[in-house]
Order: sequence, then structure tokens, then C-alpha cells
Amino acid sequence: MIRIKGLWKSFGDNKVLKGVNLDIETGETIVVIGQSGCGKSVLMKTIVGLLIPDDGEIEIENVSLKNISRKKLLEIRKKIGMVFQSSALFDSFSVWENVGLGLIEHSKMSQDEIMRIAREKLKLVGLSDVEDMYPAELSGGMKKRVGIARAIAMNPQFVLYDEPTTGLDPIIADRINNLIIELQKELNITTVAVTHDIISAYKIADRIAMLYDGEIIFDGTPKEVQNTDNPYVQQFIKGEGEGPVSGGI
Amino acid sequence: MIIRAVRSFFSYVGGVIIILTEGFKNFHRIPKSYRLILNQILSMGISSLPIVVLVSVFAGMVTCFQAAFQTKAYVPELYVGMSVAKAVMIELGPMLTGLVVAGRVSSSIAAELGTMKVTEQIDALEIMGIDPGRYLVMPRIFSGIITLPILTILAEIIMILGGLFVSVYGLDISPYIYLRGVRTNFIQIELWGGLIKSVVFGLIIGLMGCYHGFQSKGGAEGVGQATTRAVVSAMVLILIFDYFIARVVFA
Ligand SMILES: Nc1ncnc2c1ncn2[C@@H]1O[C@H](COP(=O)(O)OP(=O)(O)OP(=O)(O)O)[C@@H](O)[C@H]1O
Ligand SMILES: [Mg+2]
Repeated sequence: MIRIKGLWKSFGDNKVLKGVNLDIETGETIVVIGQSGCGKSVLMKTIVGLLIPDDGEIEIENVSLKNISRKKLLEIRKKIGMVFQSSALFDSFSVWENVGLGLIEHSKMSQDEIMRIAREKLKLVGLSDVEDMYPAELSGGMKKRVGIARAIAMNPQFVLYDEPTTGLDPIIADRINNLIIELQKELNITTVAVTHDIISAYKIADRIAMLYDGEIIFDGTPKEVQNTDNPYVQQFIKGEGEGPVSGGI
Repeated sequence: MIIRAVRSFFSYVGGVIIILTEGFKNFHRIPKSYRLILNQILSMGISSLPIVVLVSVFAGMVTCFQAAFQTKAYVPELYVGMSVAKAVMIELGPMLTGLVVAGRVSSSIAAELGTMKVTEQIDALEIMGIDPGRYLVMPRIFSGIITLPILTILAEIIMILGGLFVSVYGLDISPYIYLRGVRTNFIQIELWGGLIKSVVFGLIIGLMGCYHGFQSKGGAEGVGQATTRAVVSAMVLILIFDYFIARVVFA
């Protein structure tokens, strides 16, 4: 499980996270919703130790990331897959090398074997015949999907998706939703996803948490989200411009 | 003002030392990373080769011309070759190669790593449990250390040949005299001292490329700045270290 305890993170005077608490059980899918710029990506990066929190603690499988050695951290990360909002593909590598890099570096598999796995993972995200292309030759949605294939290539126990369906057409988006559900069911993967896509959130989430003003202000099942009278949550899921949620434009 | 300058100086030195240790502490993984290193050596070597050759030919020619011109009628022709060889081994070879490769390679390392930084590719490596220190920094620093002496030896040979060309066709000195001059009064430490310099310059080039690449912030503009800084700081450090190594080696 992943345990987030009293997480604070600021950039200069910009306090982004102000005491985030969240427990994510093993095998659970949690979706974090929240306005653009509220710190969802920062939260994701802090969970995996890419950003160091100013205060508070992250525990993954009861191992605290606080004062952890670099070696141990890198070891833990092999169990984690992450899909970046920006895809973050390695642009000097072909698509299959992107997907297979973890295996190339950490396993003793032959190149053929790694290529086969890469192809298989790409197929899961609805891509074929792209393995020899380079990221620059792909569309935004294709990059996103390569990013997903890369994140699941090493059969991780935890997958963090930063907006997995943004920029995808509705059909592919739904396939990705199904993929996330399947992975969770079949492999008992613990999933944290960030999305603005409320339909996708309802579909994949066991629990939905809303991040607002640096804190988790709501945490419940999709049903509870729909039925809550929390005005912030209501405004967000209905997508209303007017309401208690401030900020934005 | 002064406090800020001092502080930024120390954070600079600190940052450079961090990158340096990232590189060195992964040196024990060189055998396993031979592919990454080989790629770096080839790309560094091949990309700098044309410019190193070009610069060396002309540097050798002008050195020979000046050596003869300045000493005309005072010293025997034999000393023209000797002057060229000494100037090339002690200073020109390592220094010019260092500066030229700094311009060519530090910039491309900084641009590459900077782009990886601002597009989150380095974060992506981290997430895959791949240490950027081992995967990116170590191969670049190590390749610099290997490539620079090789390029320097090549540059020195070409410079001496450039000098030969000028002495034969421009100064009417016979090639035998010139080449005998090259070997006259040869002192080994002068050759090794120059090569020690080139090793240090290679380290500086890789290090500055990596450090400034990792420091990149923002987008394309930040990468551009990092690139310029990498080149300028590599060149400045090369000039500074050139002096101090000379003082130590030739003391
Ligand atoms: N590396 C950084 N340096 C400085 N500020 C940052 C950095 N990363 C994020 N921020 C700031 O943190 C805040 C939250 O950013 P974040 O990317 O987490 O938003 P988000 O919730 O993911 O938004 P979106 O839905 O648009 O992706 C923003 O105000 C942003 O300016
Ligand atoms: Mg984001």
C-alpha cells in the first residue's frame, strides 16, 4: 500500500500541497481529481520521490521514502510504473526501446524477447506497427499510449497515471480505461490516476479523492461522489463555471 | 550583492562536485556499461574530428611559419622543427583540441541532457529505476577522459605535419632537417604533460556538459542558456587548468 502522511510541498512562495493525507490500499484504484494547477502532478511526483516534500512522509509497502538510500529508492521504483502527463518518451530511442528500456537495463532477456514483450504491451494499448518509429513521428495520443505501455512493461505492482486519457479519442480512451481495470483485476495492481475526465474517473475508480487548495477535501466511492453535498465536489463533477471553487481565470 | 555572489559561487561548486561524484562513483560499472560508453566515444570523436583536423592543420602551419620567421638568421634551421614539436606537445595540441572539443561536445551534451531534463525524460529514467548518474553522467565523463587524449595525439601529429608542409613548400627547409628537428631535444615529460592536460580537459568537457544540462530549467530557452554556459565554463576552466597543470608538471 501507499501511505501519504501530511505532505507539504511548495515552490518558493507557491504553497502547492498543504498537508495531503491519503492511504491507497493494495489492489485499489484511486483517482485524484482537481482543478488544473492544483498540484495533482506535483502529488504524483512526490509519491515516487521525484520531488522531495518539505514536510510529511510517503510510505510504499511500509518503507518510508524519507532518508532512504538512493539504491533502495531505485530498487523500489522498479516496482512502480508511471505515465507522465507529458509522456516523457526518450526521444533518441525508438518506440520499442522506450517500452523495453527497463527490461534492457534490469533483466538478462535477449533483445528478441524484449522486443516481443514490447510489441505485446503496445498491442494492449492499441498500437501496432509503430515499434521502429521514433517518438517525434507519433501523434500526441500515440505518445501517451506508448507511455502507458512503457509504464506497464516491467509488470509493476503500482502504476501511477497522470492523465492517461487526456488527448485520446473516446474509443481509445475507453480502451485505456478497460486496460486499467483489467490490469488491476488480473494482476492486483495498485493504481493512482489523475484525471479531469470524470467519466473515466467513475469507470475506473474504487475511490475518488478531490484535491483542492493543497488538501484532499473529499475521498469516497464514485457513488458517494455523485451523492455528496460537498459544493466543491459538486461544482467540479458538474463542470460549472460558477460556484465556490475559486481560482482559475 | 556580494553575499549573493558568494552564495551562488558555492552552490555552483557544490553542484559541480555532486555531478562529478555521480560520475566517479559509477566508474566501477564501466565494464557493464561499455555500450553506452562506446556510443559516447564514437559520437564525441566523430563529431569533433573534422574541426579538430582543420584547426590542427592551420595551427601547425602558422606555428612553423612563425617559428621560422621570428628566428630567421639567428638560429639554425634544425630548430624550426624542434620549436614546432615542443609548442605543439606542451601547449597547442592539448589546448586547441580542448577548446575546439569544448565548443563541439560540451554544448551537445548540455543540449541533450537539458532537453531530457525539461521534457521529464530524466524523471522517466528515475522512475524506471535507472540511475541517471550511471546511465547519463558516467559514460559522458569517462568518454571525455578517453576521447580527448586520442584526439589530442591525432591533433599533434597533424600539427607537426602541417608544419612540415610549410617548412618544405614555404620555407625551403628540407623535410629531413625538419623531422630531425622534431626529434631534437625530445623530452618525454613534455609529451606526457600535454596528455595529462588533455585527460583533465576531457573531464572538464564532459562534466560541464552534464552539469549545465542537468541545471536546465524551463523550456527551449533554458536549454539554450545551458548550452552556452556549458561551452563558456568549459573553455574558461580549460584555460585555468592549463596553467596550473603546467605549473605542476613542469615544476
Ligand atoms: N518544478 C516546478 N517548479 C515550480 N513550480 C512548479 C513546479 N511544478 C509545479 N509547479 C507549480 O505547482 C502547481 C501545481 O502544478 P501541477 O503540475 O501539479 O498542477 P496539476 O494539478 O497537475 O495541473 P494540470 O491538471 O493542469 O496538469 C502550479 O502552480 C505550478 O506552477
Ligand atoms: Mg498535471
